[in-house]
Amino acid sequence: MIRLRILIGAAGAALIGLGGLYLVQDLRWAQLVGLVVWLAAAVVLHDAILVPVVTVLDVVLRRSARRLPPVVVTIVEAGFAVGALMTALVMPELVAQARGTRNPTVVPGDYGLRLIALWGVIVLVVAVLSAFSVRRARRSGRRSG
Amino acid sequence: MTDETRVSRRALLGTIAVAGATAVALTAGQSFGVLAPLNLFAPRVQGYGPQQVPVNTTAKAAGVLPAAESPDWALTVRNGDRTATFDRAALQALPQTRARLPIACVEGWSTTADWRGVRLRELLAVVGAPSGATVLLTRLQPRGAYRMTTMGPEFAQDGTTLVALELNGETLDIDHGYPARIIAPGRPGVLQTKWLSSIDVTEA
Repeated sequence: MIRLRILIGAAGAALIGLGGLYLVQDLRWAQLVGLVVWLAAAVVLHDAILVPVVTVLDVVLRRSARRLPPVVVTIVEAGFAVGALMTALVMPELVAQARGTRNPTVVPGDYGLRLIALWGVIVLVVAVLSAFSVRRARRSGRRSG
Repeated sequence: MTDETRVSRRALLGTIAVAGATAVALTAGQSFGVLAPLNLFAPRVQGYGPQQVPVNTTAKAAGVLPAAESPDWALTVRNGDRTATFDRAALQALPQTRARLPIACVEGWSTTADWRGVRLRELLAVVGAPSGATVLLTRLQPRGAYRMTTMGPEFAQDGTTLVALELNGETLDIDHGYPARIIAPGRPGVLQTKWLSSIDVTEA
């Protein structure tokens, strides 16, 4: 088992090494720097923004609403994760629009407004699912109590 | 941490699944027609652009103006010392073929359109190119990447590979490659040479 894991790990490391080699061969220095910045920005976005927000959300929800079933916390956090992902996806488009595009067929949409609408839909879905979960939890609580 | 305060594996995987499905559903419509009505967040919109096709490089950005609009434009087809030139009227006088083919960009969008023009293999036959010929397609653009494209016989001899003159029933828009462009099945958009200037047989 351990030998198999070492083998798989070595194969993975070899592939990563090969990828790194191709990367250095195929990209110019400016492109490599851009790539590192882009990858680092993803880590910063996740660790410095999303994780703290989710942690605070988690603590607030659990402290302020002890009587809520744990599934509600999960639903709220899942809704936030979906919204955060879509926001991360749309932000570059808003930046591109602000900077001006190559031609009018690139990023033509009203992305900011749509993103706000999406957050509205997420809040609605989270609220409906949470209400449903609370009712179900109370009903089963009465039955068992 | 107690069990109650931990996110369960099921909740984590469920969240990832919902987030992934949402991202795909709201963006894949830029290339996948079934999801086009849900395309709220993709950078391109199917059917949005001149003649209902998005544009990557405009004529202005490619630097092909004013050559592309010049009445002196002519397409040169060469096979060794055999050369033929066609202006737009000459191309229009040849038998016209229709093809329904997509522009599929490596940036991730694609839009299917109706094209009309002259079969490439019929132009190659005029200069006596053999059926195994590989051709070099050159556009008007003075410099830059993809100014020249090599096309093998598997594409050049295909009955739907056209030197297109019309797009969706109209004269090809300047940003779609007027006076003439290549459209072939199964090739990335960057190789669908616009503002075609010459076709050279490189290998027989």
